[in-house]
Amino acid sequence: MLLASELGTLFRRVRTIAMLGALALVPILIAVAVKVTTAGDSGRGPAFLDQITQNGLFVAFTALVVSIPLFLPMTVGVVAGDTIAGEASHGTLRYLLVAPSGRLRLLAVKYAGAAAFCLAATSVVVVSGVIVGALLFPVRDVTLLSGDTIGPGDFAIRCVLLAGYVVLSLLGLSAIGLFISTLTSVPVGAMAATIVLSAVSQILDNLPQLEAIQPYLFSHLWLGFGDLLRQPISWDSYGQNALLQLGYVTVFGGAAVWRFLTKDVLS
Amino acid sequence: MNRYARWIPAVAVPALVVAGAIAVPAVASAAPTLPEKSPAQVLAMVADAKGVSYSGTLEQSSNLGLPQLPASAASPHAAASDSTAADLLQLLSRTNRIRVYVDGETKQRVQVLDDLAERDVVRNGSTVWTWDSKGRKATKVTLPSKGAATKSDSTVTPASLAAKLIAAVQPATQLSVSSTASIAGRDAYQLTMTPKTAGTLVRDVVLSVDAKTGLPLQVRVDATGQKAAAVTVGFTAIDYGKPDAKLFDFSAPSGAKVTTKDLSQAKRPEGNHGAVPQGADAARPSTVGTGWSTIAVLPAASDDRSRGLQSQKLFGQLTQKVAGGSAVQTSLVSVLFADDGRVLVGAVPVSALQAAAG
Repeated sequence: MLLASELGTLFRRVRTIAMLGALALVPILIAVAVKVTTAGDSGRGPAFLDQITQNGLFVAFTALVVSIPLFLPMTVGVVAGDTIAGEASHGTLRYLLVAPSGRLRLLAVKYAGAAAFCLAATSVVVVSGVIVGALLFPVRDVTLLSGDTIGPGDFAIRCVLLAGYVVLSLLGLSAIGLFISTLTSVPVGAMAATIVLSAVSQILDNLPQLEAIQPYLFSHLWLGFGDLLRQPISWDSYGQNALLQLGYVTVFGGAAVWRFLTKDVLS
Repeated sequence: MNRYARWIPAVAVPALVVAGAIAVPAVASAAPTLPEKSPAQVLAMVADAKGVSYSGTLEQSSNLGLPQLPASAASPHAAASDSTAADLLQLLSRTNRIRVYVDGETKQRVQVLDDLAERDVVRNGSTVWTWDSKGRKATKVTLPSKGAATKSDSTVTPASLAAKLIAAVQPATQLSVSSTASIAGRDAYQLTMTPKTAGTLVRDVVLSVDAKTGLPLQVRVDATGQKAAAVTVGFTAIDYGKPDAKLFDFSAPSGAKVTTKDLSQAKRPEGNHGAVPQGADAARPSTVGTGWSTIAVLPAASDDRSRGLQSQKLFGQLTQKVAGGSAVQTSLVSVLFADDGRVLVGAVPVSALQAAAG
C-alpha cells in the first residue's frame, strides 16, 4: 500500500517523467545522428557505433554504453538523493512517521522506489533504442563479440539480461544516494553528492596507480556487460557485479537504516 | 545514546563485509594432500594427458616492472605503426581473461576476452579461423594434413618423453615436486624448476599439474628480487565436460573482412639448408652462454627496419640509455639495442648483455 503510493508519487512527478523522456532521447539522437552522417567506418566513438548502420538492433546496445557513465547515474542520483531529504525539505517527513508504518518500512519503500526507477530508466533506453533502431535501420541477425551470429529472438533475451545487468549495477549507487539523503534535509545537496560520487568512482577506476582498490569501486563493473555478448555467455562479471553491489547495498543500506532510526526528525 | 556509539554499526558492517571478502578465498585454497610423485612421474602424467576434453577460464597476469604507459599509448586509436607494439604491451602489462574450449586434439577454441571486444582462434579439424571483433577481421587457414609426421610420434611413450625432457634440462635445472596446491578447485602437483646458475633473472618456474588428469593448470615464473610472480597463466575455473559442438562451427559473420590462407599444399623443407640464400644465413641469430643465462644475439638488420622501430614514440618511452646502446630492463627479461644495430635478448641483467656485446 505504502509502496504503491510511493511509486505513484514518484512516476507521476513531472521531474521523473522528464528524466525518463530525456533518457528515451539518447538512442533516438544516436540513431538519427548516424543516419544523417554517411561516414560510418571510422574506428572512433563508442564501441559498436559503426555497426548501427548494418543492424538497427545495435542502437539499444550503443545507447546503453553511452548512458551508463553519465546519464543513468545522474538520473538515479536525483531520485535516490531525493528519497528522504526531499520529504524532509517539504516538511512531510514527520507526517509520514506519524503514521504507524515505522521508519524501517519507510526506508525500505523509499529504496524500492529508487530501484524501480533504475529498472524504468534502463528499460526506457533499451525499448526506445530497439524501436528507433528497427524504424531507421535494417534488422538482421546479430554478430556477437565472439564472431558467432544469433537471431533477433536470441538477441531479445540477451537485451533483457543486459537491462538486468545495468539495473543491478545501479543498485549500489541507489543505496549510497539513500544514505546521503538521510544525512541532510537539502535534497539538492544529496543529489549532487551522489552524482559527484559516481563520477569520482569512475575517475578513480581509470587511474592505473590505484589498481589495488579498483575491484572494490562500485562503478568498476559497470561496463562489464560485454560478457553477455559472447558465445557462450560469460557469467563471471554478472556474479562478481552482483556480489559487489550486494556489498554496497549492505554497507550503505545498513548505514542509512542506522542513521535514520536514530535521527531526530524535526521537519 | 552517545553521539559516537550510534556510528558503530556503520563501521562494523563494512568491516564485516571486507573481512568476508578476504577470508572466503583464503579458506577455499587450503592445500590438499596427495600421494607423493617424482618429477619424472609428474611429467609423464603431462605427456599422457592427450585427447582430454575440457572448457575453462584462464587468467594471465604479468608483473614485469615495465614503466607505466599513458593510456593513450596503449589505446586502439594510436598511430598504426605503434598499434602492434601497443597490443603486445597491453598483453604484457595487464591482466587478461582467456576462455578455452577443447574437444580432443582436433577441435579447439581460444577466446581472449577484452573490454567490449574479443579475439578468437577456432580450430575444427584442418580449418582454423581467427577473429578480431575490433576490426571485424577474420582469417581462414587450412592446415596441412599431418600424414607421416604423426607415425614417429606414436612410438614415443609418455614416460620416455618425460625421461628425455628431464635429461635435457637436468644439467642446468634443479627439479622438484614441491607442495601440492589447489588450482581452480582441482588438486594439483607443483613441479618447481629452479635454475642452478645465479646468472639469470629467473628464480624459478612452477608448473601446476592436475593430479587426476595430468593437465597443466598453471604456469608461474618468478623473478629474482621480486616477491610477486613475474608471469602467471592459469585456470581460474575448469570443467572436464565435452564442450558444445556448435562452438567449433565458426564461419565469418556478414560484413567481416576475410582473408584466406591455404597451407594444405605447403611442403615442409626437407633438410635443404644449402638452398637458403646467403643473406638469410647472415641474419641468423647466434647465442652466447648456455642454459638459463643464454643470450640471443640478433645481428644488425640490413634494411632500416630497426631504425624505423627506434624512431617510434613507444621505443623512447620504454628504453633507457646505457653504455653501448639503449636497453629495456624488465624483472624477467632484458633487451639491449646496441649502437651497432645488434639486438641482444636474455633472461639476464642488462650488465650481462653489455658484457656479451663487448
